[in-house]
Amino acid sequence: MAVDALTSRPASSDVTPDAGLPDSPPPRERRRGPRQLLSHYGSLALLLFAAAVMLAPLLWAVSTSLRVPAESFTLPPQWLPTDFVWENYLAVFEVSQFARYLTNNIIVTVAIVLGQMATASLAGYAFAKLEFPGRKLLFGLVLATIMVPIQVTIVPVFILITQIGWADTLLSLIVPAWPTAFGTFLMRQYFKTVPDELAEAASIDGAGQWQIFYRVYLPLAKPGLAVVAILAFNYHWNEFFRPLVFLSSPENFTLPLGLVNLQGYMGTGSISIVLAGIVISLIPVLVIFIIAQRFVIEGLMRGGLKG
Amino acid sequence: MSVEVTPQLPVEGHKESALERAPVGRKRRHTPKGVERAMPLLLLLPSVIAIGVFVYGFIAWTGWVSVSNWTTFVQDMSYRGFTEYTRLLSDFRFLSGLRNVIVFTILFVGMCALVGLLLAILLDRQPWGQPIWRNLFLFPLAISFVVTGVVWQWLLNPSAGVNILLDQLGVENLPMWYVSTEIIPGWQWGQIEVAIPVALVAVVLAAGWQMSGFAMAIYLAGLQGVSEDLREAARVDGATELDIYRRVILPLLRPMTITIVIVLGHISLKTFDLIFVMTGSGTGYVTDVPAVYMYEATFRANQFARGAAISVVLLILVVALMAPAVWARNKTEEGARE
Amino acid sequence: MRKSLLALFGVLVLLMAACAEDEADDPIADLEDDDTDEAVDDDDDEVDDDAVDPEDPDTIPDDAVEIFSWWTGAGEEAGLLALIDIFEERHPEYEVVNSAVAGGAGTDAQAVLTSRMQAGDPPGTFQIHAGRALLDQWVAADAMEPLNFLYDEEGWWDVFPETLLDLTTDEEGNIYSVPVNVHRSNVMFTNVAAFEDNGLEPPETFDDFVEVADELEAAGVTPLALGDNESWTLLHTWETVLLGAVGPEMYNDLFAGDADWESPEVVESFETLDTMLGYINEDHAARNWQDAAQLVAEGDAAMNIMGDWAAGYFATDLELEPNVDFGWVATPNTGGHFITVVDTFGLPEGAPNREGTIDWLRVLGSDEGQEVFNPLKGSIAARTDVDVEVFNEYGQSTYEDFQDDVLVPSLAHNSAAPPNFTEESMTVVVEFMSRRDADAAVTALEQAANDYLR
Repeated sequence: MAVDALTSRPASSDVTPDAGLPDSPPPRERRRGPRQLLSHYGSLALLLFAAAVMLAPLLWAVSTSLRVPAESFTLPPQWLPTDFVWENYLAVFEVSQFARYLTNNIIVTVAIVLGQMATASLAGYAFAKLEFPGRKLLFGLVLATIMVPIQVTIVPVFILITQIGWADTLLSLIVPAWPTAFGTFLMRQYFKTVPDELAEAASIDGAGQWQIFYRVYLPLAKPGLAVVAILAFNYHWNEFFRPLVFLSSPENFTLPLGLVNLQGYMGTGSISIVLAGIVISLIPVLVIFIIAQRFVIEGLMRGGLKG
Repeated sequence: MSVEVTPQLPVEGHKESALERAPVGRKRRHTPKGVERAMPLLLLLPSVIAIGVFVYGFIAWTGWVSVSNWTTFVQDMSYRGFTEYTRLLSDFRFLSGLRNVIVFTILFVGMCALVGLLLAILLDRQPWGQPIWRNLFLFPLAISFVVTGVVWQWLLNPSAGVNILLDQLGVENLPMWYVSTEIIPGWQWGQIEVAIPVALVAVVLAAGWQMSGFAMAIYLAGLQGVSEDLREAARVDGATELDIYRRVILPLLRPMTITIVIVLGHISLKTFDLIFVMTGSGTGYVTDVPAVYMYEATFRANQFARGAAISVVLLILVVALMAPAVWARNKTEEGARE
Repeated sequence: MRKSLLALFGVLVLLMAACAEDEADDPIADLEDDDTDEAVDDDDDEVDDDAVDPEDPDTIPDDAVEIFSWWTGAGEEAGLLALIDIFEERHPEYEVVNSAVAGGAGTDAQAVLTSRMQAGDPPGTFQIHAGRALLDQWVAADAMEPLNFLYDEEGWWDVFPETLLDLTTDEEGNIYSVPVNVHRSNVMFTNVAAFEDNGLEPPETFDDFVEVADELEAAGVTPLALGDNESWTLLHTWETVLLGAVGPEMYNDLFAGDADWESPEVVESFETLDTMLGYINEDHAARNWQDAAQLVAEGDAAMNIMGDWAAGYFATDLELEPNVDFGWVATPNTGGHFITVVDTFGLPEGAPNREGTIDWLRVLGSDEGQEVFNPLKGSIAARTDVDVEVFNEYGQSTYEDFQDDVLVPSLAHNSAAPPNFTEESMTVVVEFMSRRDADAAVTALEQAANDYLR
């Protein structure tokens, strides 16, 4: 992306939707009059306010989770924790199979992500680089399934799962999630940016089709794989509906289902314990988010802007 | 985005001359044959067959169930007719759910777009610590709807959370949030009132809190693609900052808005998790949505045919509302690209 | 290097996934308290605890009896545990696994049971309301064993009221479950002071109700408390009005599909409901049944129609005295009629430990079992020969009614009709609450009857 040295914006006069998000664009030139300063600090203040509003629910959750359970409601809400009942966090593990929920969630999510990375790269490559009749139509059909609400297919999937004997197992969540239309779409995008000449050169060099894919293109699409992995991780880590339908024994529950179950038991009595569970569940999300935020944003750009 | 190409092969020029010079027996260009011809098929097979059977096939199956006699626990796939669909047309719960999900979508997408735009504008003008702000606003996106639902259920509980704060600030007539059965007066249409159930506002707030960051990110990318030249030119012409935004920048953001409408719109039409966890279907079905109705009809009431019909209608709804927009987007994009 | 590590990790994860259900040792489960969703009998020395995961159906040993219920509230759980104690005393050879699932905002116990039954993985026995919930679902699916032999052995045919047994018997005379407790649905609880202070008597007919309500309103007391935050309470209220409007015979006919839902009597029931709804508290949509009952307890409202679990709420939770602080009558026009909500347990086909389950059922149906369970739960025994003294004042009065009154099943609690009709009728009453269109309501019910009852 050519950047004009003088201004620090792209010199083209159109909006370029492909513009990746630079970490921090260099400050633009401006006349530093009092009006500018005011708007500068004004927007800062507004941002602070918005940030406070955004953070408030989470802060409230953290602070309430540290209160004595019986007093979760009676006293006026403190926005900063006053008592520090860390025992609530231990209690979460005692009153429910929380460790189990966490483990199950990890197993399911990682297994799904790995499987999706495989199917998405295979199919994405085929749609991007290989010529065959009906390619466009097929891809359109695949893409269209992104719109399909899960409710339309849940009952037949459930019956199939039951007949195979996977009801109430983690496999019922994992295997059906391996084919991914959105992941295929993303990988196709990435593969398309790799020049075709590489395939030419490789086949001249004697490489077979599979080798071209596996040794040439796939390594180049690693960023794409990372995006697919992150997005898939996020989606399936938080998934609720399929576990709700497929799983029935508490020890098989995934985390979101487990949280709702926790709320069902604790209900109005000990909301601080429920919130402690919530906070615990947010930690892995936060960690992944921090590590992967670059990829998340990029994925958003690609996914959002292209489809 | 251009990809950094790490040369893994010898430079082309060298090879060409070698090939030119090569007598027979040297490596020739590999022409795919046999198994390799079928390679596209093999690569695609798992995904495509899976999607073909498990999505399209199952949609057809569900369609059949919706016209079958499977109305109780024991499966009965004999043909019945389109009764379920005609029933839905006069079903209070379904119609309410339909109204709710459409109102919800409009309010939710609207809120996200507005808040997202404002945040993006603020961020665009405020490069200090931009990554920090950005991440802060984006973080709720990574949260589960279940978590949002639980947290906001307590925040907007009429006897707790925000209301306690409002009470301390001296507000009388504390809002009922999602317990309210009021429907901001609209007009009666058949069995239901076409208007905004106040309870939905609570859910919109929760959902908007979570997803506004997405709109912000999209708009921010758009804003940062607007060249400074353009702004300067407008300024030179005497436009105020406000004018610049209204006349120059906003129109350029149209594609972003369409994207946001598409992505957030189809998420909200299908919404289940948030409603189920936060409010349930609500008294008088003020927060019911088709996805929740489908779940309860199928898995609680054993009304399999009805659940299937609801899901089919939901599918049609999503496709009907989203497809034209997507189509239009693809057309403009293709035009711009080629 | 990285790639092969990733591959290895992936394979490991998949292996873990496939084996997850066989995970033997769950140390966390051992830490769990008894008042959560399962209670493990750790005293069974014959079973290697390391190999048993109490909640994993695959690892429950064959000599365990798994009891599936949704009794996780304070009183009912105490009752259940007491029953389990008796059972363990009589049959120390069995290990008991208490698979109680909380209902409420999260997982639906009904849905969990449905999943397991559909997967062909039934628990040893499960709680089910007597009536069509049982007959139209599990019995129709051939998932239950008839229990006639057990009734013969234990001599139960004479001990339970016939109308009650009819609720769990199919057309061929096969009986499928054992009733353990009975709740009454058509109870109108009253605030004693509110009536006395205004010189009023609790109403017996609908006309009385209107008179009394008018006077109460004039005196500044909300006549009728309603908490329909959960819609079933509305259905519950209406079913009592329906009974009052059509009488027990037509009530039964309606649910059998033999009567016309569009009859004038049914229309009348809705019109009456409409009248009654004119006397309720304004914030009804925000209150659940306990909050509504509390209005009566505190004297803000005079009457509340609810099942007799409310009596447990008054007596135990709020520590009110029967007949001093709160009173009760049959809902208007239903004197002498008793709408039952009956919990029963049955024997699923393919139950893991058939003998164990049968022995459990014996305990359930015994007078000792029922005398211990019911006072704790706050219900009355299904057997008619239990010592009436074990119940509190409310229970005693109800028990006597139970022996004398005409019994009919409850709609709102999945006895009178299968779940599909019940859900439908819930939509109908919710719609009626908004639109007050009685004709539309009965037409919808007739349609639902065609779909689901006939």
